[in-house]
Amino acid sequence: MSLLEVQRSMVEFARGYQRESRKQVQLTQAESKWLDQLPNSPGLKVTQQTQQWWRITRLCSAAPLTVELIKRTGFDELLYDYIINEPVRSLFFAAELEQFANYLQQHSASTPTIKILAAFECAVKNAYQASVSNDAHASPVKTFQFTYDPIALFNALLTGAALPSHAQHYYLIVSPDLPHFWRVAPEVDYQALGLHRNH
Amino acid sequence: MLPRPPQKLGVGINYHWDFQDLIRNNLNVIDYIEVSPDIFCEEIITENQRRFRLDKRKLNDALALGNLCPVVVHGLGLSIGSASGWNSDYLTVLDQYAQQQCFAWHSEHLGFTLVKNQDGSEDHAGLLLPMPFTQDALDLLCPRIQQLCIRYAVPFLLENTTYYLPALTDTYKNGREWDEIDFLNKIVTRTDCGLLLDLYNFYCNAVNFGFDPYSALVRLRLDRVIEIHVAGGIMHEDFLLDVHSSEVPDAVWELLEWILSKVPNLCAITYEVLEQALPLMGEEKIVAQLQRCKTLWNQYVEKSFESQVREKEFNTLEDNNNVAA
Repeated sequence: MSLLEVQRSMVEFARGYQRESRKQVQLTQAESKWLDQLPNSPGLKVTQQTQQWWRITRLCSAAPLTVELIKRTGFDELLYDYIINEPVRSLFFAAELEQFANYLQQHSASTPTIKILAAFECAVKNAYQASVSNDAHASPVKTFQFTYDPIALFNALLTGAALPSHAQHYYLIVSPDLPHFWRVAPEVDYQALGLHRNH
Repeated sequence: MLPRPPQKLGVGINYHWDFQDLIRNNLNVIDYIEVSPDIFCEEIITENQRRFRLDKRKLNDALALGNLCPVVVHGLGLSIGSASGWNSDYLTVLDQYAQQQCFAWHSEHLGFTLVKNQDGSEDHAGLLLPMPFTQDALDLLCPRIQQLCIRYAVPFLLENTTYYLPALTDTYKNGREWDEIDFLNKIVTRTDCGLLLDLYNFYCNAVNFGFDPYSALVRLRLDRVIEIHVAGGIMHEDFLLDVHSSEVPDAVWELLEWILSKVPNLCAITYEVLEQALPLMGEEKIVAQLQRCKTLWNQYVEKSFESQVREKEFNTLEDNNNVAA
């Protein structure tokens, strides 16, 4: 078993989707004993949980509003499903946020508000990155249409207050040129940007 | 042996922008900062390619602090042990950082996070996994370590890590299996790298796998220990976890005090703590940990260093007198 095969096995065990490695390669006695030990080792569960905790921590830092909304609206299964079924691509926050937002856009159990909020947090992150790297083209202006008052919604998610009820349409603009990279916009601005499509 | 002995720095803390005030307010206790350049980056992934983008704002904040105290580098993202190739983007980031900030040495964790699949796609473990203690792993690591020892003209240190899975090991002719100490000793014998001895990680492994840390550590090449890490964590499912979330446990303080007289080339003790622990622990408790490190540093390292300097000066004086006579 080459070092590469050993490492593939370890990653598979850590992620909880081990293949039948031993069928594909010739094993020494030590390798065979080690592969027998791994599935029943008490440290395997801890390794898997540690990997999942780090990922939850990354998600909570990268998309705090979206994660809070998911929990508050009883869609926790989306978080577990993402962590278990979506491969880890990176230990970095922005890459994790991008992957999480894409996952939510495609998942049928995800609500429109969860999808919009994830896309919004992703856009703000991209705008921030474009701003600090002086590359505004990397993050063009984006618009979002909410059916909650966004200020009331963000406040509720950050403070634990009750979620606001659905109301009329609200519009947000995200851009690297804005002081905090986003602002609530009147409908006229939203229409003027010519981007009046639902995100 | 190490290319040149690094300077004695004292006591430090891992850098995070949330610690800016804490560090600036306590420069009487904090002699240096340990910086992970990875934290100034975001990773952009397109298709099967990954690249880093530096956040200049965060970088500039750290550079400003680097004007006030020395810096050492502690990498997170190299994946030095990946059989399918290390993360060369990390080195690009470190190259960029090295152009803007002097550092006394740089270090990395002994382990891997990335593997390439048969179809060429990349898999990520999601956490640092340990290297098997085997000749194959040694043959992969040593040339890479040697490259890192010369790349930045400052010493390179390798850090022992915590692991929870049973290790795949080679065996000696007498049937005894290689262990972590054997593996680290073989690395330092074959390369010029120093050791960043993480006492908390080592203590976790001792607790989790039931061995005596003292009898293990006396077998380690302690002359290669340049930096020591201390930290605290939590117990979960009967495993002591490496999470840097709390105060250093008493058993690790005892290990530190025991080992300080046995590491002649020690240059630094770093207290590692997660930024998320700041609101939970509070600045006072974190500073108290640093202060305790400082007391031990002054008691063991500084005192011994001063007596070495005095002895050297005395010998030089005696040599000069002999020449004059």
